Amino acid sequence: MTKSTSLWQLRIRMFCKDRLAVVSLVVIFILLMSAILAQVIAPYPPAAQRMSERRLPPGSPAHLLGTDGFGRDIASRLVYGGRISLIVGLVSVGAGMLIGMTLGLIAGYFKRLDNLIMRVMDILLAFPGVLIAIIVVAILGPGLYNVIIAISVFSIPMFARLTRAATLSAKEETYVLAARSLGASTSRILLQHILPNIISPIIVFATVRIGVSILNAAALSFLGIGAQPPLPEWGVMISEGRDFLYTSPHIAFVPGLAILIVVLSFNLLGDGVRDALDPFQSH
Amino acid sequence: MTAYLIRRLLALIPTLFAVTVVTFFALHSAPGDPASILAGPQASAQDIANIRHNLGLDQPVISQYFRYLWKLLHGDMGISLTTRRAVTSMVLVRYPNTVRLAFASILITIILGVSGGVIAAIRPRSILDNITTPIALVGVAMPGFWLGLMLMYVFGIKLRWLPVAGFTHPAWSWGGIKDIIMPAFSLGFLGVASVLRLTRSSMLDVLGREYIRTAWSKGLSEWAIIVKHAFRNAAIPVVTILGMRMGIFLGGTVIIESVFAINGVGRMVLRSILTRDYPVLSAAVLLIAATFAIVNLLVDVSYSLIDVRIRYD
Repeated sequence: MTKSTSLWQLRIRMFCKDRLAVVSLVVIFILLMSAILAQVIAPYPPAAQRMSERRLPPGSPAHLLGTDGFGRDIASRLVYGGRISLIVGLVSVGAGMLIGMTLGLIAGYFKRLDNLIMRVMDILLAFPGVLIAIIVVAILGPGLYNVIIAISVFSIPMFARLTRAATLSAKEETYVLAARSLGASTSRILLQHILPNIISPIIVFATVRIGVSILNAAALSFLGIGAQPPLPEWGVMISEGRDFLYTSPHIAFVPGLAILIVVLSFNLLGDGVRDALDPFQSH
Repeated sequence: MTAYLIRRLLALIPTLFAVTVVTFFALHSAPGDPASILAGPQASAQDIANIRHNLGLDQPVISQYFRYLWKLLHGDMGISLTTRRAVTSMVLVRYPNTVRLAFASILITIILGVSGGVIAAIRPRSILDNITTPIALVGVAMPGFWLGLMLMYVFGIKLRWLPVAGFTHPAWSWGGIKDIIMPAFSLGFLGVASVLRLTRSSMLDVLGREYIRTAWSKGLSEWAIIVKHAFRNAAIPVVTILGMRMGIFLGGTVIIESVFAINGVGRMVLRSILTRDYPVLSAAVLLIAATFAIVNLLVDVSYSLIDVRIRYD
């Protein structure tokens, strides 16, 4: 007798076959655990300065990754910084996805509102790169919370576009017609029939966007308009390391490498999730 | 084609209008009183009121916007709150540096991305093809400002091959080329990955077509087949993604100009945020957004030059 396999079991099996995606998931899990247990894992408090131990190189007896220009332990700051990056990535993408998805669903389902919503999204997309996030920071002022808002605003039009396109094709499907003819309310059709059927590409996109958001938040902090020192944000750490590039390049090198590994992991995880959720869409 | 071009140029007007609306009203809602900043800390309430009146800041916000728009159409972008100089001249002096950086970056992306993608496609499973995917993955995930600092450390500080900061030589001199290599690479490398992967898959798709087989059987040289027959047909998606990258590059100039201390519009954006110099910020943002809109237009027009089957009339 053969054992029946559910769709989700198949998807998990498919995901597990992608070795890079599994490794990425492990890296993200480690990041998550170190963020939660930062106080236990980090050998020193992130702001503890020891002027006698300034700019120690990596591999020093008491400081595995060395110390920065203020004698602060880089490894400890990296662990606490991971917590910040993870919060920035998850919250900004979560908020951007929620608002963008709602707008996309409304635009795709209600023809009358489509033009209005999508033209506003087009205007936001007319600003190249992170410029829209920079404008938002200019209005709200520098700071970590404002960066989260700025990056959420930056991702809204992308989620709206993606959701609208998927909604437009989903609303013509027979199951939507069937739900409508059974007297289902509009909100029920949107949330219980259309949304579950279009959510896969949105989840994949969100996974990749977490990496991009971490990257953009670090860039804004590096420029001095995001998280402010002495917060151990990775972009701030690179910016502080810039002053010691001639003598102690490791201060800027280590947090940059951490960003690279984490963003790479989210991107690879996104690829793996896409292949598992929708094998026909895989590249 | 001419009719299409005119139509597209006219379509630029509402886009740019929308950009002015967003920047004006967004920055108008920002904290800080321009009149107080311009008057300085020693000014009396009467001085501030006079400046506010002279700048029209005591008018309703809608009339302020139309006044701003009217002046903008006449090439007047206002006065900087920090330097008290005309914003138009400040922006125009820096604009060539930003354009130079953005175009040099796209050139790096084309040279590495397109040529790498073509070679990877014509020599599948070769060493080059095998190393392109990891490079592409790392390239997308790497912070450009960090790459810039690392390049600066290796090639500027340790090897002393390239200057670490600023555009100090004329653009078309050897010194000028050396000035731009590291900034352009820091910005352009991020785009190499996506362009390389797309060129490779697009070329692989075209190389499998029957007309390519016909071209081989006619005895044409490999160069002619790759460049004239295959690449021309594979180029449309590549040009599209290059246009999209240009937007990212123009936004990225804010970051890379700051890393390499380049006196461009991007760095001006940053400085104006930190000093709350809103006329400068609004002018710089408008100029970058307008450049992006024009680049998008050029990308669309280039389709018909690459593929003669595309007609817009």
